[in-house]
Amino acid sequence: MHTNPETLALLALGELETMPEDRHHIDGCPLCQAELAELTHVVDRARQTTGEDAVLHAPSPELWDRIQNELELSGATSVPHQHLTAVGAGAAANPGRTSRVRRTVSFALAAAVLLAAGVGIGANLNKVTAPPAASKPVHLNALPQWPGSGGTAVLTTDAQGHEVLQVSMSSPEPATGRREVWLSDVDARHMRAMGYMDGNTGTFPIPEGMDVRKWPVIDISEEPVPDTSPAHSGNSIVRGRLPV
Amino acid sequence: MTAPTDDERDALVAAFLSGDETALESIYKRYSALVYTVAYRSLGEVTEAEDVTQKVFVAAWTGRKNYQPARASLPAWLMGITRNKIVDAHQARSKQRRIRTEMASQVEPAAPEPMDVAERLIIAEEIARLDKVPQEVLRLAFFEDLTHAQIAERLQMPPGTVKSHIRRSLIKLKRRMEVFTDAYES
Ligand SMILES: [Zn+2]
Repeated sequence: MHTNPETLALLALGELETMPEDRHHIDGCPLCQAELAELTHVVDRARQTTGEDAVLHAPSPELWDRIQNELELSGATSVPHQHLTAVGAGAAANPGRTSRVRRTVSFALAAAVLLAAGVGIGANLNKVTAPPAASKPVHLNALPQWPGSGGTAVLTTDAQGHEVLQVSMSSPEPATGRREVWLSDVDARHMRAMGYMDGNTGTFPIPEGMDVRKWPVIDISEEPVPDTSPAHSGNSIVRGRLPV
Repeated sequence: MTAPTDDERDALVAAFLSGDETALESIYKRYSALVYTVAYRSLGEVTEAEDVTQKVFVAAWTGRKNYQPARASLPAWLMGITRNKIVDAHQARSKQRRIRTEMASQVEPAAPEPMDVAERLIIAEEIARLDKVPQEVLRLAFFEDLTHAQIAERLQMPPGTVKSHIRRSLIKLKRRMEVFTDAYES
């Protein structure tokens, strides 16, 4: 008899000590071996996921136009992603443009079917982040001392129209201090402290009169607690460059 | 939540193979965010990630005659192309780097393997789609390292129920991942 499937699942999680009879069977059974290996792979991957993995980014809407143009497709109509979410709205908003409307609606219907059927990772539109108006999200790369860390930063505008920097970060290392966000010029000679992260995320208003274009490098540091010096600790976790 | 029927999948693949442009559009809508996010996470740069995404869908369309539905699912085939285009982009980049010195403040970590990134994205999404209870069970098992007995106690649930949640959810994650990564046995 094959090993109990629930036992294999718990073994994959690393929970159970293998019973001698299970071990004996698994060693001699390619089926149970393969099953255990696959489940273990799933568990390993799942345990590697970070908050960052929960977010899909949509490419900019113009990308589909570029593909259509390169392939010289006949129906080179632009259908921005945003139209996908509102089934009737697209049609109502463009009463004069029949072909475009029909196309939009067929897309919307397709998307609705996909959402209902739960097909395709890209169909989960509420998780797909729309490209922000001000800039595209930039990836923050880990410094060598911080393997596995990463993050994203995006420059956008809040509801009042003020420029804000939105940052998210994850690191497999537990925080031993507070994590502070900095902007610096390209030579990293001048740095400005933007504020501390709130857990894995942070939103920082760009001060009035600060030209972000001159401060494009973003850096997140680990600062000691209490943070007695206003300067950068020198211990950078991730770093990236805003596309400004 | 139901999986797409074989008929729906087959119809899309047939339309794609016969050169139906709307099929390419549907495929782009379904998978462009995954392709783009994998490229973005692997290359760390928006422009390159968009270039890769463009190349993937262009290559899929121009090379559709090479796609054999019996050998791999359509998303698995797309992810294979994605992986190749990302590797190409990394190679082009290191060639460039030899010519031009990198800015001192830009630190380039070892790039993650595209398929590992894809698997993490797919798993994270599938966990998010689980019902509340199985999702909480998995979260405790994966990220808080609780045993099934501890989870049963925490959630006031019979241990047998916890075990079957774990088993069923792991199988779901595995199947979902296979759709995107497995080439079929030939
Ligand atoms: Zn067996």
